[in-house]
Amino acid sequence: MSTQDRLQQLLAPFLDHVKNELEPFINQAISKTFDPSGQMPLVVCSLAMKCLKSFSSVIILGRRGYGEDAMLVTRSMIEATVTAATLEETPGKADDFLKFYWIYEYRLLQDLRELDTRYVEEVFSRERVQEANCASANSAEGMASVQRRISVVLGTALQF
Amino acid sequence: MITGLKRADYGPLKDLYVLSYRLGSDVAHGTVIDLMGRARREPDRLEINASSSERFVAQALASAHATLLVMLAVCNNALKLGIENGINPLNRKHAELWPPSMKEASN
Repeated sequence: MSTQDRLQQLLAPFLDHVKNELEPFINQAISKTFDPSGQMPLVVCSLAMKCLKSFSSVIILGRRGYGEDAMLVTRSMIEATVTAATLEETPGKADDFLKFYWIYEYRLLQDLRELDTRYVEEVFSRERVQEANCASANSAEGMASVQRRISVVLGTALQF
Repeated sequence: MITGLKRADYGPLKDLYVLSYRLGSDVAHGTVIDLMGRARREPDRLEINASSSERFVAQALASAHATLLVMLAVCNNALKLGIENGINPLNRKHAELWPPSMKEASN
């Protein structure tokens, strides 16, 4: 019996549980027509979607015998869950969570500049470089740009 | 790991947070030790394929399952899903989900 056949056999009770109980429950609880309003619910909902995709990945990796790699994906699930719970407890941080993306991008920009300025031109469009600079300077123009992009992000999240 | 509907029930989040960092180092050490053992037992065979032990598969799936249930509990509170007494029954005992050879590994 091959390793995969053996794993299929060993995992059968777990996979049955996922297919027959967990999946229908989740589909009912978080349906695609669900329409969360407000920043915090949208971010939590998006993190949950990410978590569900990761769970599918863990199952695929586990069934194929890649247990260590499945654990790495599990770690991402745990971090997403901790973030979601933190935001649920302190909804005001949802705004910071979204804005942190620009801090992250600015840091990446700075690191790339230190490596080679040509990288910056290759990786970022001129508009994005300008936005990151404005946002880091906390200028009115930069913050308006950040708010505009947050609206785009939230609008995209609604299309799940 | 206990999961449920009320905020108090997802107290193990702190444990999850610690676990997430432990998983990183455990996986690295476990993989290397596993591979060292294989290299000693089968020095002529060097394969790149799925070669995890059942222990890793069971640990990963059990952790992912528990984490997903915690996430559902968080969503229930954050999104006001109104799930009542729905998540707890999904938190099945490992004994029901795993065959005997994997039970010990997943606990």
